[in-house]
Amino acid sequence: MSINNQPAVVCEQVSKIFRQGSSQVMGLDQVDILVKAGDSICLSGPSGSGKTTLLNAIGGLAKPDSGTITIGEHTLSSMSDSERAHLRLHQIGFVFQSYNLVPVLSALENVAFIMEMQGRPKQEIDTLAHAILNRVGLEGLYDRKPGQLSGGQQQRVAVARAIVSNPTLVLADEPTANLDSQTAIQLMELFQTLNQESGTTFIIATHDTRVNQFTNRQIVMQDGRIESDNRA
Amino acid sequence: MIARLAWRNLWRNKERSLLMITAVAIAVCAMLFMVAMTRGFMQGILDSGIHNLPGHIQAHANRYLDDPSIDHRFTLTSASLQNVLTNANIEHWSQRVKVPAVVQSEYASQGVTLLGIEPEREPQDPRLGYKIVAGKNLSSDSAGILIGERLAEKLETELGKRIVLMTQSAEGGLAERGYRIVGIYQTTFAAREEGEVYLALEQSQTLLGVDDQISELAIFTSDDSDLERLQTELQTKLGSYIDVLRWDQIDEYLGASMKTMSGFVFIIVAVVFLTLSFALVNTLIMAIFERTPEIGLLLALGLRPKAVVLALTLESMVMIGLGLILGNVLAQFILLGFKDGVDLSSVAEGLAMAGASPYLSAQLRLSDWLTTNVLVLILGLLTSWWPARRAARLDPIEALQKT
Ligand SMILES: Nc1ncnc2c1ncn2[C@@H]1O[C@H](COP(=O)(O)OP(=O)(O)OP(=O)(O)O)[C@@H](O)[C@H]1O
Ligand SMILES: [Mg+2]
Repeated sequence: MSINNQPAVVCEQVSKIFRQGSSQVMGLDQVDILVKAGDSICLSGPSGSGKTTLLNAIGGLAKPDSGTITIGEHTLSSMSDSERAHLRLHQIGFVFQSYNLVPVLSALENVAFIMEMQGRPKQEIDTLAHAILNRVGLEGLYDRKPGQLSGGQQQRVAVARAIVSNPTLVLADEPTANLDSQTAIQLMELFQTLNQESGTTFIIATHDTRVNQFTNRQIVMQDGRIESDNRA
Repeated sequence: MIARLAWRNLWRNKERSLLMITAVAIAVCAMLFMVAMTRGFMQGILDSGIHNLPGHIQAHANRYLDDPSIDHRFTLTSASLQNVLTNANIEHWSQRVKVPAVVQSEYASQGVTLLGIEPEREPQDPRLGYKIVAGKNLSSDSAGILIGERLAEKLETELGKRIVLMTQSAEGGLAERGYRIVGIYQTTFAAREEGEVYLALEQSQTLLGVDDQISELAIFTSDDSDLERLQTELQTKLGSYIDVLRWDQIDEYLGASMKTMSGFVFIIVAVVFLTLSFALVNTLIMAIFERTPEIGLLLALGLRPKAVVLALTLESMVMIGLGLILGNVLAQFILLGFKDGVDLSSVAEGLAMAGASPYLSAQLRLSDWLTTNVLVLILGLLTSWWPARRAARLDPIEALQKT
């Protein structure tokens, strides 16, 4: 797939307000972003600036209070829950910040699970799942349950799951947290390769300053707003 | 994979799952046991009601039931008998004369029912406590009379003595004759022991002057599930001057109480299982609550809520299914021990008053077994589905953050 001009994600005037009792927090404050297919974005900003909230909104997991979000040709607000679920399953790869793996499934099964739900043939699933785990440096750990893996290893299983089925969009929240610098760099190189070879669009929320060396665009957030947006 | 997920989750909290399986098993076993005992009790009442001489189906001349005198009698020629009684469902049949009479000894007299029977065709059921305590049982060529022990006491008579039997003859006059007591019987039913005397069929026909006519044709079937069809068939063959009735029509009280008990059995089952359902729902809600983040994860990754419902329902249905199997096996073993019945002779007086046999046997019909199992499965499905559906409606992001 080559990089074209069709936008992958468009956010227009997206706002999200969290109300707690009488106080309000602007999770997102009139965010405008146009993500081109093939963009690889490093989304940074201080803690509480709205990175996770933005990723959730783009993933169709949190409804904005105002504004519209479009993924490819789909406008999220006009889709049903099950249509959004279908979109997530088939087109978006997720790495969540807090919780990522099903504890009763092995590393391999966690990766294979999504592909099975997508209805891919068994043979293909098996090959792809093994290959991707090898690629994130987890050879031989296929049958371990998440509880038997280190934090960094779990993180890599989550990354493997997010990218294994070649989604058009990957939303990764702190994928390099818990990783030593060498593993973090390997992972970012993997993202970069996928971005360049397959044209996969990445949005990576992170505090890790090393990440932006591997991306072609850097967006910085502050208090729910876009503070800066630079292309490399 | 959904199935694998369900199976793994099932064994995640082994104690809880095993506890649940055991609870279901015990409940199912208890239900089956209660149903079986109730059925056994019902069958006991039924058996004594039927084997007390009536029969599953009886034929009488018109009006006999309103006025059970010798005036209302009928004949079955051998040919028509053969024709009527060649039916695979008929286990055995017998002809009877059954009329009111008076017996008299030197000291007392007593109103009784005189039964002229074909002794070989009517084995008295020892399960009903029937036994000969003096002399011997009637046989078809026996010229004497068989009476109950209580009646003997009342008449202050004994084995070998003569008593006089008086009744209305076929001509309308008085038929009177002395008989030697050849046997004395005992049974758990006091009223019977005091009120029924037996002659061989031919003896009674001679006394009444009725040749080969009878008051009653009794039919016992091996399969009492389709009495109505047999009844209709017999009625057609015997013709309209004979009334063919089922036991539950002859003894309406017995019939009605059987119906009530049948319904009652399933109320028991429902109540036991409803109680169990609360425990089940509670456990499932707990299990789901513990797993909120991963349910959120599955939903966030794009798994359809239906798949989540399926996984959770499957998990608890496996649990219920295992409990069900275990419960059935357990119940089979327990019921095997009760197969030959428990002798309740010591409390039989009370049971006899209720009309039951002193042997209580556990009985389980295939239909009871099926109904219980299907009921548990359906209620199980509902109790599993409801919490699962609630879980599938969780907001993925909120659920994910519940770590
Ligand atoms: N469910 C919620 N209820 C109330 N407030 C919330 C909720 N989720 C997020 N917020 C608030 O919205 C703001 C943005 O949160 P968000 O999680 O997007 O920040 P973040 O940039 O991802 O931070 P971090 O780098 O720590 O992950 C914060 O002030 C946070 O407290
Ligand atoms: Mg965050």
